[in-house]
Amino acid sequence: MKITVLDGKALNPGDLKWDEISREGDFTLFDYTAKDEVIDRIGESEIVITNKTVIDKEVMDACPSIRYICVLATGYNTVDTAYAEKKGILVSNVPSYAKDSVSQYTMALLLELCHHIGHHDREVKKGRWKDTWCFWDYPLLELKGKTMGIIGMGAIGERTAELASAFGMEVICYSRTVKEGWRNVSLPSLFALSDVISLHCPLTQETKGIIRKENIEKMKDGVFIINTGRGGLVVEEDLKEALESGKVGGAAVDVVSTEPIKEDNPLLSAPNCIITPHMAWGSREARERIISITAENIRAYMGGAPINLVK
Amino acid sequence: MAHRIVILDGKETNPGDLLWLPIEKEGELKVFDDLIDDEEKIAERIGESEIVITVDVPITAAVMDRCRNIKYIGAMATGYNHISLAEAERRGIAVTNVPSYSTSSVSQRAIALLMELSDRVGTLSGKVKNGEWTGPFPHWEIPSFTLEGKTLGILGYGKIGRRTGEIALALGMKVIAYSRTRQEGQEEGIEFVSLSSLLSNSDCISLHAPLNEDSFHIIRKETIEMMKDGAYIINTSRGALIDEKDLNEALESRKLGGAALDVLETEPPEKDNPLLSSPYTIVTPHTAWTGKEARRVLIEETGKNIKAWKKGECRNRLV
Repeated sequence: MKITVLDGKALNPGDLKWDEISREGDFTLFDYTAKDEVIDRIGESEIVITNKTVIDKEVMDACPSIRYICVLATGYNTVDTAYAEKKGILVSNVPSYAKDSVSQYTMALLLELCHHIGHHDREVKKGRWKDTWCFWDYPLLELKGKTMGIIGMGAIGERTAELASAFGMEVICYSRTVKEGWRNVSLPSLFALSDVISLHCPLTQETKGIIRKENIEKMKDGVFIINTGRGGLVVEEDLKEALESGKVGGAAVDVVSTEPIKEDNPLLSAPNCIITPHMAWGSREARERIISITAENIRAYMGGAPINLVK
Repeated sequence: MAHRIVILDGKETNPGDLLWLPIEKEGELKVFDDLIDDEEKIAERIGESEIVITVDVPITAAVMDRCRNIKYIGAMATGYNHISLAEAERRGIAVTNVPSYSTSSVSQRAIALLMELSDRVGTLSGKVKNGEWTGPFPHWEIPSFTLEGKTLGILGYGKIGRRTGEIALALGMKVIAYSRTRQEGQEEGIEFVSLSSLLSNSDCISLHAPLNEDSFHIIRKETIEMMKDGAYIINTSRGALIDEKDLNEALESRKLGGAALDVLETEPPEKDNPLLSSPYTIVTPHTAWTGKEARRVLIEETGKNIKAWKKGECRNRLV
């Protein structure tokens, strides 16, 4: 059975092994595949594995041998699943692998807002630490006693809530369904009460641009905003304006509206804004888990009882 | 008559974002900003004051001889090795310190340093701002790792070490601790072990021991050799706990994975300190204690110490 990985490097720059998947068939690995190479490279493959490479109607029509598509991620908007269903092609994803990785990263972003370790490290290494026994450009903020507002209490949101509690924070949350064991509040209350707001909801019609001018106005002065969810949750122009006025005290985002980031993205020139290149999901352990779960998906498919199917 | 109070070096504790009120209400207050070590200038600053508050300005026998009015010296810090206790005692001068004010600030910083080693968000943000987020692939050249399941070794189990351990447990880490007074048993999920067991079993070691003869250069060539390959070291305590030359060698040879340091043996550091040019270190300028809340508590406690002394009570008295 022919198995082709279209963009393996997006997941595995070479520090992990593909063995678990490659041993399941006639395996071909590409680091990256440009749009005009996709059809050629899939060729006669029955199983196609993709992380970010788009598999649309055109590709499926041109490659009739495809029976099964594995997405090396949770989000599967890169595959036209409706058309796949019509053609009888099965599609699987990796539904949950990054809970610990993303929640840990969320706290790392929050701690960077509180301590500015990256900034101070760069200043020290430039030779700034020379006249006094200590200096600081931003005061260190203690999390103890501050209120963490979490929007979206799925697995990642709830794990983040647990970690925030461990730092002595009060946690409040807003989710479509009430989350037992936590203090659930309305969205306007969450905006009004939180010292830190962390986004863990999916991107939907309802949540698109949830961080925008009119909602920012409801927030505490100096609030921190963290986004490890999706770039579209934030109206970047509005956030930049609020950072400039000081209404928002700091923002840390791992996702932006267009990735890789555009040169004219307003957040690049906003003050007190930390931007990382969509890394929260990618600890070594999480990436290993993606390969293992995908191998399980393939074995289940071959055994005639496919799992983790999406439509 | 109100006591005359002088704060000799107030700038680091209060750069202007806090009020001196808790100290001010105990007398007539004069505040100086910068650290000095010239005895004549120190004596000039003290003048006729009865109450002297010092963060790091040395109060020696000579200073006490020149300033005969001194009745009370308050260290606005935990450490007091800059005050000559024996000389104070001989002259009947009371001395106090603030033994514990920074537990949550410093433990939070230790974990923040740990997470900068594991997730590198500060480094990555610098790269993005530098225009380096361009290609289709993420920046895997500095791989990140999850803390869950890793072992954190706490070397020195006081209040800060304990609090750091509690947060690490919540992050899903296994936590082991070495304390001079306790080397076996368990306490709320934290296991006590011998020093050699701590060194050889930890993925990351966080230093929380006070500096004394036993702990001086406790991280040196021989102890580093006992550690796991690729282990990480975090120091928010005192620089001299580490032999910096040995540490740098171990980082260069890749025996150790990295080090995140808020303190160095000499501060401010010497220009040629190799740890300042190493790609394997994170160095911050001794700011773990500087949470605004921690500094507020420090000022309040300093005021309470004065108040208690005025009433003839013993509060945080060293002499």
